[in-house]
Amino acid sequence: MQRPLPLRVLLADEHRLLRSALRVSIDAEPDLAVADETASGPEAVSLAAAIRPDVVVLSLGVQETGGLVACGQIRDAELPVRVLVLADTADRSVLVRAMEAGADGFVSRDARLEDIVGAVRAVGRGEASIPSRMLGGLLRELVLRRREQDAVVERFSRLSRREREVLALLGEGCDSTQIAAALVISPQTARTHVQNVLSKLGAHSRVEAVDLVATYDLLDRFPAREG
Amino acid sequence: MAEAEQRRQAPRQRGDVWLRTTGDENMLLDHSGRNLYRLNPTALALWELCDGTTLPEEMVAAICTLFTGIYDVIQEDVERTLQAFTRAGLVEWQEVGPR
Repeated sequence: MQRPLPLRVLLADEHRLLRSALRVSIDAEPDLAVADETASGPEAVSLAAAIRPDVVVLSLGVQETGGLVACGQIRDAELPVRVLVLADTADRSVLVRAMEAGADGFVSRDARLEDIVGAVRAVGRGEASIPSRMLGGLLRELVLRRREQDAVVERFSRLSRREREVLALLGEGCDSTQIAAALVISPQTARTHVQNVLSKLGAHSRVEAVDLVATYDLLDRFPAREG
Repeated sequence: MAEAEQRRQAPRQRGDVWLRTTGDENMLLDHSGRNLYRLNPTALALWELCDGTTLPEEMVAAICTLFTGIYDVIQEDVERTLQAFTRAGLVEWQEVGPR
């Protein structure tokens, strides 16, 4: 029976010493092999596209862009690779940001080398590798974020079609005068609409309202209704 | 318990149940002090979510965000674990009001 091909790993870490240590550990495993390595975020993304590794071990501190941006770019390119984020500490907020950026796993540098290698293998198998002691906290964070999102969506659903048009124009940077001109309404009516939008969204400013829309992609996800 | 009633109920850790962590092992000691239940990482995470406000479907949705898998399978796993907690007298169920 032919032995399955080893999982191909791209190492992206700003520290040469760690890359060397990981390369030795990974290449010692019969089911893993380092395909390439880099200290640069942009190069990690281009290498991921060029050589299509099975797993990218991506440090949050990679040069030029940092790991979160690089991870997001890998996801945006829809590359068929799995990403294991390597962070300085096992910090929950960092973990959440890594998972939101599209990481498939998370491991901290202070983990044992064999645990990092184990995480590479797990991510390569399609599992989400997360330190077990962090899983409960991460799930709680996800529950809270989902509740927050649901609350925002519910408030947004109360906006009329006209109010959504006003919100879209706010997102384009329009002031009340420009909104009035665009919608062929009086400036006073435009200001009233803006106030209604802020009130219904529970936003304290136009900036906050626009930020909510961008964060949750509301206008694209929920097209206008009559009202 | 009828499914409709259970829908807005959330499990809450009983106050007389203790979590013991020894190295990588996590165990629950029940109120009698005589029964120990070993928790795997997922069960430990679910135990931590048993705060009286987190609904089972919220737990399922959060897990689905992290782990690829069929929703129904993950839901079954979560329900099985929560039922085990319930049978062992480790959690109580309480009403969760509308949000």
